[in-house]
Amino acid sequence: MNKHASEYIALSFLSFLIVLGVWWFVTSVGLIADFFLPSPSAVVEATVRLFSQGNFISDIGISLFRILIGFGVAAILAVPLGILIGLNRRAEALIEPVVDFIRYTPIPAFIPLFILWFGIGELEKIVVIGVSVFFQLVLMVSNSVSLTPRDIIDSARTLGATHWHILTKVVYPYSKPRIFDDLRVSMGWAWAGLLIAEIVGSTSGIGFVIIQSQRLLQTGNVIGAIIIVGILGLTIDLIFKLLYKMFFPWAPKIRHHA
Amino acid sequence: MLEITNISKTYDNDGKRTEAVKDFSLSLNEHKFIGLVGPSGCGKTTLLKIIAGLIPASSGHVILDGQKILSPGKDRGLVFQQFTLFPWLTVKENISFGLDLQKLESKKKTEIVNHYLGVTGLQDFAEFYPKDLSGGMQQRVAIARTLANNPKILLMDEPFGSLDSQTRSQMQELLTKLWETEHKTILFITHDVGEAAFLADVVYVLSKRPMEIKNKFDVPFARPRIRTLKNTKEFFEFENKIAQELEI
Repeated sequence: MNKHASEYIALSFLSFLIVLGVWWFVTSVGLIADFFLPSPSAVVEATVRLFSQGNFISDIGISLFRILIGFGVAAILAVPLGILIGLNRRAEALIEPVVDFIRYTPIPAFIPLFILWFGIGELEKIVVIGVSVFFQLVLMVSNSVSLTPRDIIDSARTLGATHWHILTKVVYPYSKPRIFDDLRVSMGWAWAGLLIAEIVGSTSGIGFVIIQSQRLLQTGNVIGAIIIVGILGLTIDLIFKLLYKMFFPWAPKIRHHA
Repeated sequence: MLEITNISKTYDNDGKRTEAVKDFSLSLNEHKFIGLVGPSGCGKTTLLKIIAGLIPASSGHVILDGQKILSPGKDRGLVFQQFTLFPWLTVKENISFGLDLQKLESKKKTEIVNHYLGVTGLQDFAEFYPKDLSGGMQQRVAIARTLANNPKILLMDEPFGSLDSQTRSQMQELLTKLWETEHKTILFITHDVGEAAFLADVVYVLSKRPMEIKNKFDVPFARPRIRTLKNTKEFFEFENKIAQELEI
């Protein structure tokens, strides 16, 4: 690891430590009541209790399952559609305005409708996650695909490539790392959709634990569960980054600001 | 073998019409190395792209061996100024890209790829990705990739324009050597008079937009040509003669 990278890691740890320090300080001098913000140690205790009692692990499991299915279905549909829009101006004109419209409408606005249509079971959760991811991902993929340099496509054409070759042997392989990174970024939307769906109407999952704890005035559990969501999100992000390096040794480094 | 007849190309930019090429005609013989020298932005690249079939001419036509050109094809190889290797493929895979499309028998394919790895001096880099190569090496791969496809004519659009001067002159020497062994028909575009004089059999001097042929020079130097040719008085005088024509 070079000096630059170790400095980066040290600084990211430092930012966590600062937040933790401020948190510890304001709670230990009694600036904020326990009820609103328990001390870090109280939150740790509450989290440990969450894991040892009750169904927290199975709640995490059910949330991860919903993410997997909702995100998976959205990705399987969005990637090919995004590629099509990115390559074909007619497809773009036909599809993009609708996608844009829905994309700019916040997902929570749809939830009452989805509950009406699909109830509050698994299907509704998966639909909420899927919709949260799909419309964002389609546009990201179409943008990534359209970034394939003209000269590379022209080179392939002068080497005898047909339209089908251009799609399968040039545009797709060239865009694959970007598309993979689009998946990583849109994973964040899946978590947002999941939590909203579980908080609004659910009997299981991490979001359910959060809203249930709030009703029982267990603020420590609320914060503990939020931290667990953050850790899960970061872990998945890291897995995506590691896979990126493994899958695409030829590609430029992953973009940082997303 | 290549007949360019009355080619014109007009671009329409927000209602403003620009004539890039106007009534351009040229006829090329087989197995010749042709240099086209012209000022930057004179429409050379446009002409080459029309011959390659990448853009349509507004009027006129190009005929290669009796066939009218309507679309790109592997009979016309093109090497660009910018580096255009496929970044997800290794050097070896880049060179065999065109052969893979033709579904060539794999033994034959390996043979061709190895041959061009050899002549471009890239044997030791066969498994490298483009991002790990210098600019000069990337252009060598691009040339090998095009030659492996066995085009009838090789179109080169300032292929060494982005290289530093030392690499550039090494590449020029490599290309002459390649030409002296393979005898491909090459149409080479450049704004560097010395480069054209060193490489070509015939040099055409082109005018500013709209592009026309101003003059034609037969290059008097014997082959094989080596780098030291550029230091001779004869070369210097010949280069000057073309340069003066270019400046008028």
